[in-house]
Amino acid sequence: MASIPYPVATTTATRAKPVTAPITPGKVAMWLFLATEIMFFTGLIGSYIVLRAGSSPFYYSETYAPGTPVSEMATTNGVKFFNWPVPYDKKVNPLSIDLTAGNTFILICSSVSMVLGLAAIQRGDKKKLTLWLGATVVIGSIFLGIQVYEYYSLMFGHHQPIGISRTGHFTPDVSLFASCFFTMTGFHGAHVFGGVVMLFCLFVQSLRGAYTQTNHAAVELIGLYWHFVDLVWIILFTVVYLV
Amino acid sequence: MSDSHAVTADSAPHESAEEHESHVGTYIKVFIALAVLTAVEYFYASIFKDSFGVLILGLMVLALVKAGMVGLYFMHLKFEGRWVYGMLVPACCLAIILILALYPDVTLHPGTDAPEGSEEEPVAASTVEPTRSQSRLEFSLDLVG
Repeated sequence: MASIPYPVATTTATRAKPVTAPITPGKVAMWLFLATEIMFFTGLIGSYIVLRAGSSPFYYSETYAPGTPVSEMATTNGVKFFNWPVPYDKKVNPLSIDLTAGNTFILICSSVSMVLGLAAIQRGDKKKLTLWLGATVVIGSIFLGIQVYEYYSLMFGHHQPIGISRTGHFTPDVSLFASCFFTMTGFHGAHVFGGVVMLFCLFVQSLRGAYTQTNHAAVELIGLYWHFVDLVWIILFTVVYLV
Repeated sequence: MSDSHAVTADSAPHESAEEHESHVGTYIKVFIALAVLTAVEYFYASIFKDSFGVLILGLMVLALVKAGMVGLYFMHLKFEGRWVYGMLVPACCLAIILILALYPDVTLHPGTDAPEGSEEEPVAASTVEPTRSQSRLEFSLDLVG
């Protein structure tokens, strides 16, 4: 399928009017798919909001494990309770905002390398397309690697305080917060993994010289998916980590 | 879905190198803006971590601005025809309806009810004495037990 570069140019006939990108079946299909993805992540975020807002004001504390029944508490005098773990309080919230802010920046970098790759093939530069696609694969893999490291650290790497987990491990079953965290970031991570696999396939194809200035629809469509994954992470980083 | 202003394949090779370079320049500017906004988010969250309303308002505005920049420039929404909004707007409307449909679950749950006879408002962090009726988990445990 022939692909057309984005309409940065203004031909003589259309100079007076803004030019819009052409419609292709592949692009329509990808945008429809992304519309379903919007609903998918909205479902996850909506569930998160309901679970968070419905959490008992006495579910989390620095002294007792999450969800400890009041009847089992030796004393509640002076104990500070939360309905949800607050950021930066390491006694109830194990998430590393520093690490994840860095990871967010890394994913933004991968989006830029992807769009620069598309710009390169739009002007017919195959070598730069291959270079930028390779960079995107590497940077996306770094993002995944950091997420795996984060998961490992949370679940097995450190002994967590009692306010985070009764067992000392931050696993999905220790609290509502933990299950929400792993569900949302896990599904996003799965999307990133799928994106990296597709980008790697693009990279191999570009090494074979499969894409040209007028035939690079796959780069454009997978690029759309990759930017969407980046966009979702921007929202998740705010909702899950910072608030 | 025809578009009278659509660029044809024939017109593509006529795009000048300067115009492509200007787009690359735009991408770099957007990247710098995204990096700066991420840093602003990071510091904003650490400064206003104790003011929940200010925190969530500011961070959501920043997140939406960042998401908008990715959509407009990296996903090229700025250059697409109206057809793409025909797919995105209904999806976004349904997403908003979904969130609004969940709103009763957010506001009418038993977990944050104040004790009977109390005028106390529900709080995010509390040092007051909890009562059995305030714990949904205990309620669930009672059912299981």
